[in-house]
Amino acid sequence: MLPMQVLYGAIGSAVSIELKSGECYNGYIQYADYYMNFKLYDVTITEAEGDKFFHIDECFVRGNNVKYVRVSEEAVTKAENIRLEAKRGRGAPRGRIRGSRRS
Amino acid sequence: MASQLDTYINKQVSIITTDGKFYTGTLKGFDQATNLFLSSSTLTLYNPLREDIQTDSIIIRGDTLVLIGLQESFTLPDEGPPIPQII
Repeated sequence: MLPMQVLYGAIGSAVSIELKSGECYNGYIQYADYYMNFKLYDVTITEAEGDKFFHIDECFVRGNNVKYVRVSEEAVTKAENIRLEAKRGRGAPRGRIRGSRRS
Repeated sequence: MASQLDTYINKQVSIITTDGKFYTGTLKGFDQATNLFLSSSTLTLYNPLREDIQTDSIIIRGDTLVLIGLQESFTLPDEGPPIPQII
C-alpha cells in the first residue's frame, strides 16, 4: 500500500506529525496532497523537549518540512477499503484529497 | 530504483533517519520518493541504555531516510552509543 494512500484514509482522523525541526503537530487532517502538504485543524503544537506551545484552530504545513506522520490503525483500514473500492472499478480518487471540517 | 524495495515488503526492516533515530517495523508500502509506510514500528533509542518506544502506523518521509536494511537474523544490543545526526 502506498504511503500516500494511507494519507487518504487518515483524512478526518487524528494524526501526529513531527517536523524536521522536532516540533510535533497533533491534529485532524482536513486536506493533504501528494507533496505531503497538510491542512490541520484543532492542532496542538509541542516542542521537541516537551514544552507545550499552544493550541491553534487551523494551520497549513508545507510537505518538505515533515519528518514523519503517525496515523491511527483505523486510518489504515480506511485506506485499505478505499484501495479495494478503487480496484473494484468505482474509480480512484482524483486530484487533491479533501475532508470536511469537524465541528 | 525504488523498486529494489519490493523484496522488503511485509518484512521486518530497520531504518535510520537523518535525525539519528532507529526504527524497526514491518514495511507495508513505499513510493518513488522512498516515503515509507511502516506498521507497528518500534523506535529504539540508545541513551546509552536501550529504550524502545512503540508507535502505531507511521509514514516516514523519504528525504529523511538514510538507510533501510532487512532485520532477519540480528538482535539489537541492550546498550550502545546514540546514533549521530546525519545532515
